[in-house]
Amino acid sequence: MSENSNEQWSSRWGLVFAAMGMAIGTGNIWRFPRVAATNGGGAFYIAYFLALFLWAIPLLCAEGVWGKVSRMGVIGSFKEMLGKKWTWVGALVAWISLAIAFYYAVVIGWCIRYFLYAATGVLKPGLDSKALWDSFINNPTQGALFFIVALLMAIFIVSRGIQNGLEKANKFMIPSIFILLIFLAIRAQFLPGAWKGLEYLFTIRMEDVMKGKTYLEAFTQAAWSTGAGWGLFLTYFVYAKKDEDILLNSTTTAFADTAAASLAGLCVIPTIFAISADPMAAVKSGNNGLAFIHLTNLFTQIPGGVIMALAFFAALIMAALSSEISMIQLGVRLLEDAGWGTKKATWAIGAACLVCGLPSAMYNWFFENQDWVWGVGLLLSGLLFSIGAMKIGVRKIWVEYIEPCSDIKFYWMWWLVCLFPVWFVIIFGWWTMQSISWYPGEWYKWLPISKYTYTVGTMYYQWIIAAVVFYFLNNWLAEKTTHKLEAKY
Amino acid sequence: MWPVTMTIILACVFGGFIWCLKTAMNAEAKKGH
Repeated sequence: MSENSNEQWSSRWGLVFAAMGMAIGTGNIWRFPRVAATNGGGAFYIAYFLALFLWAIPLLCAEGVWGKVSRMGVIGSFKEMLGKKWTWVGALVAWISLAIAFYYAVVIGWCIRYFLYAATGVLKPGLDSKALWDSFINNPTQGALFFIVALLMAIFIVSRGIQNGLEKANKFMIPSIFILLIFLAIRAQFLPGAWKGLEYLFTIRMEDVMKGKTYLEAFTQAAWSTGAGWGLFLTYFVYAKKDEDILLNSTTTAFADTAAASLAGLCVIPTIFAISADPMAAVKSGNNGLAFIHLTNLFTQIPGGVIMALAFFAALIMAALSSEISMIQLGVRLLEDAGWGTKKATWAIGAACLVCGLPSAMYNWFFENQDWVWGVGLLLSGLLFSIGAMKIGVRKIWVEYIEPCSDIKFYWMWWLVCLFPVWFVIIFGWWTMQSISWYPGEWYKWLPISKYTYTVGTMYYQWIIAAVVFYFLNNWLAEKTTHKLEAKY
Repeated sequence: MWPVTMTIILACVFGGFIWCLKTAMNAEAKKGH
């Protein structure tokens, strides 16, 4: 075992900053403003607050309990908490997050490329931002190159261990992200007509409050953005102090995530409404379209826009990197549980990311398929945590593991985990129905992936393959996963 | 109307976040003594 294997966070703030880094990702900066603006604005916020309490915080609590009690990664923690037969369930949850880690480094690569475009003077008036994006995204060599650079950055941080790697990096990146977003949000308000964006984002319209889609989009955003149910918060809690609070740290993570997303909203939406000739086309253009085509184009038109572009893409890089390192750490912990040293485990997970992530880096259709399959798969991970919590006993978990160390004693916030299956059925059912409507008569097909990128078939087949493989490996995984972290404090 | 709803929403978001941090700081200070 390496000397780093029993390392813990140096203080509560090491854990809190890392958890914020885990939650704050590109989804806060380019997805939240877009989805909030197109789904009711103020009404979306009401639905989002509900989602924080009904979905995110209870799941984060469950993860905190799993990690702190078992002192093992996702696979070992399911075995310890629920019995040997559940090991494969932990492996499935871990795989879903790792599958995201494989392609998420691709996104960091895109942001690095655009940061360099801004730094080298490519973003200037008259630029055809759509042509720039198309030429980049259709160039497999460039995609692969920047993906590898991003992956090496993440590997470097994780290989340095908990305190010297993850903790130091997050203590630098999280304040930096907030400072950059505050700067961008203030700058955006000085653009002529910026108030129109604020009005659009914060007006509460009753018809949107009553609309089901507002809630479906808000719950989906909360599930993807806060990282609840991914196993990442679980992994970070393996390294927590013996008396570490779970409920307040879960709530802090959820609110930090919402604060960062709101700052991004204060920057992105007013900028679009102030400068864009067709603001609605911009906010409806998807994540990539918004960041790399519309906003990039707007930055070229704003006085001092290059500074805004540099700040925007730097914030995106750090947000994505702070999430990617948490996913790689999830994989590293799994190997540490099997007796591997930190450095060897990090390079092994890095190599797996390289091999499995390269197709996404080189071919955008493969990236989009993986984002669909494993993004929706995260909802399934959340369900598995909630079922596990109910199997152990929600009251028992509160009394034995959460309440004794909690700085806030609100049982109801944890108890809401019981309602999770209801939200899962509604949200998962909605995504399934949407997917069926996109491919009438062909929703069950999955090959070729480039044609059936977003089908229900591609989702189910890939999940079933993973689940069957892990089911048959159950005993082997249970026997290999034996090295717990020995907490010193 | 929107300036009022904006103020309320942002107060909930940032107020909630700051309250969490403040509560955690107080708890840590208490443990330190």
